[in-house]
Amino acid sequence: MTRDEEQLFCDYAAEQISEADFRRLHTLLERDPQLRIAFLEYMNTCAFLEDAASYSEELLHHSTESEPDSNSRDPSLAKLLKFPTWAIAAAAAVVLAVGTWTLGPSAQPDSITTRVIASHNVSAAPGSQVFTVGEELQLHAIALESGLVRLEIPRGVMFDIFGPAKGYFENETRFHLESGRVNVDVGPRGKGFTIVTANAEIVDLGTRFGVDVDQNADAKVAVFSGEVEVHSGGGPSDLRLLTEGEGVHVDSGGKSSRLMSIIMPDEADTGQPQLNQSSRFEIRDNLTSQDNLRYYGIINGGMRAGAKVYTTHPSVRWRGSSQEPFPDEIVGADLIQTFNNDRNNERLSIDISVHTDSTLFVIFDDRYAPPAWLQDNFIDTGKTVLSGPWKPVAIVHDILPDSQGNFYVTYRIWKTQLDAHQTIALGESIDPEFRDNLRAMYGIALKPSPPAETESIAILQP
Amino acid sequence: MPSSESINSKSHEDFLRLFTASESTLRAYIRRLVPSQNDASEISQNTTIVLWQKFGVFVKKHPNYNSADQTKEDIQLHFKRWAMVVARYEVLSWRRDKFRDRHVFSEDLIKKLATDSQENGSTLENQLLALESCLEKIPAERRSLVLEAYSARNKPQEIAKRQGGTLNGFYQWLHRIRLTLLKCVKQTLEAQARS
Repeated sequence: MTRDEEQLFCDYAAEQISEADFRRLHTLLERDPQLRIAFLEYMNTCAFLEDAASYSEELLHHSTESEPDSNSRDPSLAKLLKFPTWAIAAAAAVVLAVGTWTLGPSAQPDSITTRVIASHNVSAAPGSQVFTVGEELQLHAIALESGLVRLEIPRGVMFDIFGPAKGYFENETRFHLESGRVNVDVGPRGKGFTIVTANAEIVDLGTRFGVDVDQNADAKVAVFSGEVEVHSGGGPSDLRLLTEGEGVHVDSGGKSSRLMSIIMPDEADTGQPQLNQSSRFEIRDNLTSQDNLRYYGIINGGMRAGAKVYTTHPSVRWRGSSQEPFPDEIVGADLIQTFNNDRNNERLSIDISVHTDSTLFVIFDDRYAPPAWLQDNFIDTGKTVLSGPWKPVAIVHDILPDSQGNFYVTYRIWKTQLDAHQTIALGESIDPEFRDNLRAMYGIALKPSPPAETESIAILQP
Repeated sequence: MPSSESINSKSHEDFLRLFTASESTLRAYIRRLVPSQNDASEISQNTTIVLWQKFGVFVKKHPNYNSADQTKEDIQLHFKRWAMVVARYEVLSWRRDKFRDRHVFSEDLIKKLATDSQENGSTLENQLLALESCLEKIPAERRSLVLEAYSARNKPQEIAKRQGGTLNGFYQWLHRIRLTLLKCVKQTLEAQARS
């Protein structure tokens, strides 16, 4: 398809095409079967976007539940604590390393004007800045021993830094992170804001993202919405474009690789973010590739009605049904957010290794017969939950909408007991023999087993 | 309302189930043949009414459609094909009323596009599925603006003005988004084919 033909498509779709151009388009389409296919594909995007827009409107109109607005940039501390996603997502974040990346001109760090939006349990390094909420500060270096500070910096960029952390502003659009974790929401005017580390530069293309540099100088970058560019290693081939739900680990040599999982904030947690809480298990899959840099989102203790099911699809949440409340057995389990797109991958294999005795739950779409790997290794609890609301997409093609026009998928909860240090492999979601049986991707949750009962009664006897 | 050809409440439920499964595909099929969202909506509504009125004919042609012998996929496929035939007639009927309007394709070209659309139905349907994930990859602010632009309630002129740009510039931006989505769709489907 030529540029000229593309332009004809554009003008036609916009209903802005001139009479002469319409005749030309008409003639071209009559003559050229390949162009007709290209035209149909182009118009397919219009059809899809119109449907998506319509659904999006309906969702706004009909929504009866209060849901955190993932795009909200309300800078208040109350908001920060109520929806720690923004802040703690930083937990998910980050990092940096020391290496060979060329940092460009080595400018002297300069002061920039910032405003303190929030501070929480801050302990600053001796002799360093004091952060008073509402105060305007001229800042170039920051050193936090602990706590969280949220700053508004020029161009409306919201900047969270979590102690222990250390770094400095080179100018209004570049921050050098020497160690620790930052979380950035650049907003509409801050595009291009860059976090510089010893061996990488993370350029924001209009998004929320987190960067974390650990004690080994390894860096982790995670994108929560939008996209960022990650430059590392110094060569053009070391440029990675990350979009929502993707992350990379950059080692001290500048080599980047997929970040397999991150700790996500619990939206229901109104307390202090537990940024350093370690995971009770490890998860990995067999799908890493140049095109697949997605991370599993882990919410410690976060399984409950209203929890987000996938790392994308923010409106799709776990919930109980009108006939059956959300099962107590699974509430409070560690929630693992999977990728809905993996539902069609026949090769999918997810390994989970637990550090302690645990109950592993797989929450599986209940519309079709369960796969052998599930039936062989798991027990049906008899309990069900729903996910939704879904857009009217293919996954819900055989589901009738509820009275409000929303679609919900029913899942059955399966479980198995795992011993400490045991690894189990979960298989595919799709049924290879009945590919048209479209299933939603399954969910995963894990709960440590309660300690075994001991003969404590005897000990308690006088 | 359905004709006497036989609809009962069970058929009503069956119709809803089959129609819901085909609805988005059918709407996209119609949209590819006509110049505007409003035209497509009008034709979609008419098509739905005809499908409901004639559902008895479909049931007669597929008397065992609800039996265990017929898989759900088979019957959905039959229904989808039938619905597309009905939609094609509705588009041509609409076209006869609009033939004096500018920017309406000739009957011949609509037939060619309809045939191409049905012959490539599986690919186009897979593209619709892939578009779902591709749209998610667009940064949230841009995605929100695109959806706003495609909402029937909003006027592109007003959005363009609010964004501080020209209407033409806004249309060009939407065009680039569509091309980006198409590129993403191709990559997604190629990756799926390789895996």
